[in-house]
Amino acid sequence: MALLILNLPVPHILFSFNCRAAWKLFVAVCASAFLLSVHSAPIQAKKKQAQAQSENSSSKGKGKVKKRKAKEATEKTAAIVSPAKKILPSEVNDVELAAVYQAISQGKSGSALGQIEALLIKAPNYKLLHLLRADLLLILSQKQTLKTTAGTSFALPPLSPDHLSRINQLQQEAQLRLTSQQKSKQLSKEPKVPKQLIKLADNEPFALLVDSQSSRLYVYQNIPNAPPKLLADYYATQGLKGSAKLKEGDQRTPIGAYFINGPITQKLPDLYGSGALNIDYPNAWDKRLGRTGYGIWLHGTMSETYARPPYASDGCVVLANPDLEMIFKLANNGAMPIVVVDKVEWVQPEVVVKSQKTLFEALDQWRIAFEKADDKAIAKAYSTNFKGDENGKKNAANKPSKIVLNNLVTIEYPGETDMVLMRFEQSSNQSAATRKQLYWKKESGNWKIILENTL
Amino acid sequence: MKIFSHRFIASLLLAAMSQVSLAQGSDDLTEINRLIRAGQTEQAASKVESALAGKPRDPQLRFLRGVIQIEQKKTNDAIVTFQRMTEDFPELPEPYNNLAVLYAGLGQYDKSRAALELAIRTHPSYATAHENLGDIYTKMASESYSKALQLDSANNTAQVKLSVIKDIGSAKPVKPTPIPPVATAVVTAPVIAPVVAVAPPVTTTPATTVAAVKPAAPAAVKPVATTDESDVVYDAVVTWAKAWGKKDVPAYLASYSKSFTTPNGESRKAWEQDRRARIEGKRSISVALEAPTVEMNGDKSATVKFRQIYKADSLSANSRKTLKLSKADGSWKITEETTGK
Repeated sequence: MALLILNLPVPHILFSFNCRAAWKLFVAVCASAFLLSVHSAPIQAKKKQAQAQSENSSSKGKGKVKKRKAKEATEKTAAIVSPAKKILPSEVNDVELAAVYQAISQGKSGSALGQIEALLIKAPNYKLLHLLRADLLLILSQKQTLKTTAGTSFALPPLSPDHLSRINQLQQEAQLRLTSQQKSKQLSKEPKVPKQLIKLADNEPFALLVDSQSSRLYVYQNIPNAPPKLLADYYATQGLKGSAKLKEGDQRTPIGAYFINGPITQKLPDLYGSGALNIDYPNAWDKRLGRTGYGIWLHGTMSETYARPPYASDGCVVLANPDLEMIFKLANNGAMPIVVVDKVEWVQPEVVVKSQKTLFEALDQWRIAFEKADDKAIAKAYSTNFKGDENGKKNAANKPSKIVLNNLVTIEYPGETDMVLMRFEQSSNQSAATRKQLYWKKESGNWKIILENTL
Repeated sequence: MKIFSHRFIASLLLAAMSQVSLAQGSDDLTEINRLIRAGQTEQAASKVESALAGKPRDPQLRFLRGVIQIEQKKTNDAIVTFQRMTEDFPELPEPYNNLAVLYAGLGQYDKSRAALELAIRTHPSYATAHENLGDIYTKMASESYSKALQLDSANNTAQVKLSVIKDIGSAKPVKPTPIPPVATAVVTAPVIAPVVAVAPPVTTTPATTVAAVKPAAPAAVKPVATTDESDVVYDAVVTWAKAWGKKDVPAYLASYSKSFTTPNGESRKAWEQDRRARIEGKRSISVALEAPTVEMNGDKSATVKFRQIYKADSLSANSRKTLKLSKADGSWKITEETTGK
């Protein structure tokens, strides 16, 4: 792969800064292509191992709770939006972008230029494509000149520091897009799932997962009694200072398990592009930790550009407008999870099934303790560090009742070790249905509730 | 941009000349070409039209018609002329090239590129088209860089956005709050100048007009002008002639303005190299001026006409010469140099 690049008459142009940028882009392509070839062999081996594992484990892992959930799921299937719901690809998806880079790395500058220009018709403000086009044109120009004379050279004027940092941003964007594109190509071939999405609610057909390190937003579809299915993944912009939001104004995107609690319905300035969805930061856990700030949205991109740099917002997650419009169509229940992770951990589905087992058992014990109004058992479900709705806890335990939990969603809490967020609708023959969140923490091998809140 | 277009014109004229040289001893073509070079565009135009009346399909005549239309700044007519030529003679690269030059002049780089690519397809070794295509690519690259490097204006609206968010808050029902219009971020797009400036033309540089040859007499200085300023103008011309005669190339070149129109549209650098080679290549040079006249065109511009008696080694030339000069920073410099018989 790397050798092919030598076909391009680049070295002469290298003296101009812009072309040095171009060169770096080529190197980036080569590097990622190289990585792919290095990794593909072990991946094949792992795949076989995974298949063997899934055959072995298919008979295990169905505990009591699991069975109950499965029954619930069949009852609730009607609530799930038809899985045939179609996800459209991005206006210009990263597969197309990767194809352009591949053409460049094979020395097919002319055809790469044609591809870029076709893509620019669809997305005229795609800056990365403009940069690629510029670099390619300069190379083509150089080729023409080499045909006629040897002595000609280009002297591009010096660029301002702002322009240099803009070039860096675009290179960063290119690398992130290409790396993620390879990742999703790989994911489409393997049955791996994100470790964080332990269980999605039966009435909520979709979930979003943001990988901060790779500036990527993954869209997952909830398949009853099966691992969630990856539908699409988009390049996403995050806070100017990165992720792990702590306080108001720190220009960081929060890491955590959140929910989209509805669209911003008012008329928004152009900055927000085709719309905005509100993320429920800060949640009870953030508040307990004293994290501040608000108004973290998932929104679109201003009209002047197709995509923003990877680190650019005040903490919001920003998508290209066509991508955001797609999410808008999916977010119709008002409770779509959006899990923001530093780095997504992809695991075999069995790993998730295993964590479901112990967690659902803990939840079952908690529910049964309340049904029986068993103070001792109730106390055992809670951590000594518990904070939250003490009154609710005591009142609920007054007399025995029948408690039903519906639409359970379970997320391994990002940024914490051994912590899980569960959200569900709780109803009993004594009280109306409430939406509750339980934050579980593993303490000496047992899951304990450390925080509880009612929405 | 100026240099850009100059270089293009160079290829135009060269293309025209190559046509002429191909002409089978046609007097019409020679005469028309002479008229074009002498700047007598109207005469050239009527000559071409009358010649075309007899041979309406003749490619050389039609080509010259297009060249004249360019000289007359009848861009649309010239486009039609060359466009029709590409249809009737798709094997000729020159009409494509000139079409490309015209489109480039209109800023239609895509069309220009397409025409040049066709020119190259017909003649893969056509140097002018390659060079022009190189220029077009560079120009397009520069435009693309500008588009790519526009800065993210959101950084300037960050403050505004923060206050917007405070208004909305994270309250469960979103209460619409009037949002102050976001101040339009004034981020000027980087303007990257065309990059073509440095490239010298590659095609053979035709002999410069000054090198014509005839016997010479010693320098005779006879100013005819009456006003003081015209004396100054004339002095500048004398200084030029003396520097030339002394083979003092730096002083000779310094007599020419930075905006000097090189005789064949080549780059300043190429022209200077050519002049230096020609002057330094001679053992001795003498330049004399006879019957000079100075015509002032306002304060800053003048035309000096004289008979130039030039002698170098065994060569000598007696020719009419016209120098146009203009005044910048207090001194008169040559902006244009033409030789007639």
